[in-house]
Amino acid sequence: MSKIFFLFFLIFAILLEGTITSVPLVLDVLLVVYILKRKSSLFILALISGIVLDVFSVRTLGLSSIFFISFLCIVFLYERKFETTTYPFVFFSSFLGGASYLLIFGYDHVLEQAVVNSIIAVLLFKLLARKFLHST
Amino acid sequence: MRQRERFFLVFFIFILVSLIILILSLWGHLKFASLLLEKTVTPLGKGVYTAFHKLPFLSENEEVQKLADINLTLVAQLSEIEKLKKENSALRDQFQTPTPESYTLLPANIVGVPSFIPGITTPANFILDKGREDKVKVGYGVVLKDNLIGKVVKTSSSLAKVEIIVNNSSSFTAKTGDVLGVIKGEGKTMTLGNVLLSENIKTGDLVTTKGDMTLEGIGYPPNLIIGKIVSIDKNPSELFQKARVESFINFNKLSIVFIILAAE
Repeated sequence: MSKIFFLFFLIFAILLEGTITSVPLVLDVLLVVYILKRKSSLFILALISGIVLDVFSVRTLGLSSIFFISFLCIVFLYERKFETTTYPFVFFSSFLGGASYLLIFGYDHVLEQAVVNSIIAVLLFKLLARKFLHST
Repeated sequence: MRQRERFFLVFFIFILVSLIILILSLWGHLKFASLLLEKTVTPLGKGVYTAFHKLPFLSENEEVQKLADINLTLVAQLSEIEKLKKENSALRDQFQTPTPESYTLLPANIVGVPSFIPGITTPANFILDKGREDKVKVGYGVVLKDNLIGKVVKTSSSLAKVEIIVNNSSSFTAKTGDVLGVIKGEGKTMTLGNVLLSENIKTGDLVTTKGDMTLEGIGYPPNLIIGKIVSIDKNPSELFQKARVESFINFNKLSIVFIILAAE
């Protein structure tokens, strides 16, 4: 059930980011799902969603996938240093990840979008953590 | 520890797969797969984009829409009259007929307009549902009626990315009357710069393209409407004056545009 729920969020984020917004929503969903589930199998979702986003944005295929996979790996590396299932971690990691993504792919309003991205990530974390963190 | 090793193994496998996809894509070996994906996602994108614009707080009042359309037509007619005046004058002077401008226009649907706040923030790019398959090339101009929208900056098999004229990286030559200058995108509006201090420009003047189209159809044809001057910054101590230019187009409300393929 939780897999379907996450998948729904991811597809929704891909469609929104691919068509109407430049806020990196897919990155948020991947980050939050990774923090909650901590499964390396999430890389396959990062790969596929990156490719679909590249198609939507007329980018060279594989660019977004490399970014998403590398970002998840960095989050994994920080797992030992920080408590990852906290709001500050979600906020700062999504801020840094979002800002890097927007800078690398040449979007405008980097700072504003990164802040909005972090707020969305925190809200998503709050929503999903309540539902899934305690049940696992 | 074992879980950590497993994680890194999976990471390296997936980063390697992504790199292979990237390299194959760069070398053009994934054209078929890319086309297949594009054909699948384009209707989805178009559906989401259309549905989004039907939201009650975003869809424009019908009367406002009609007035906006009439305004665009009137501006186009004004520009046409100005052009005809000049042509008439040239005809009288030189007794020769200038070649009428005629371009092949390809209608294209907008399937994506990624902007910070959808429907509010001015977007920097459009994604169109026409690509290399439809003979669209990088550098082709994009218009709506006689108004310039932008130019194609990237193409895939069935999609094209358009850089809108207000995009920060957009820059090209323009004119207002007989005065030449350079238009630069400022995110929401544009700046007409490099206008000599001795030149006379005023608020409300129409700004049009100077025309820098090559034989292959790359670039902008002349006399396309860019916008109107809304303010002028003239400092006697500087060599040039500059003006702020606003487009007549609401880039958030577009659904169809036209790509200028080449001169007939």
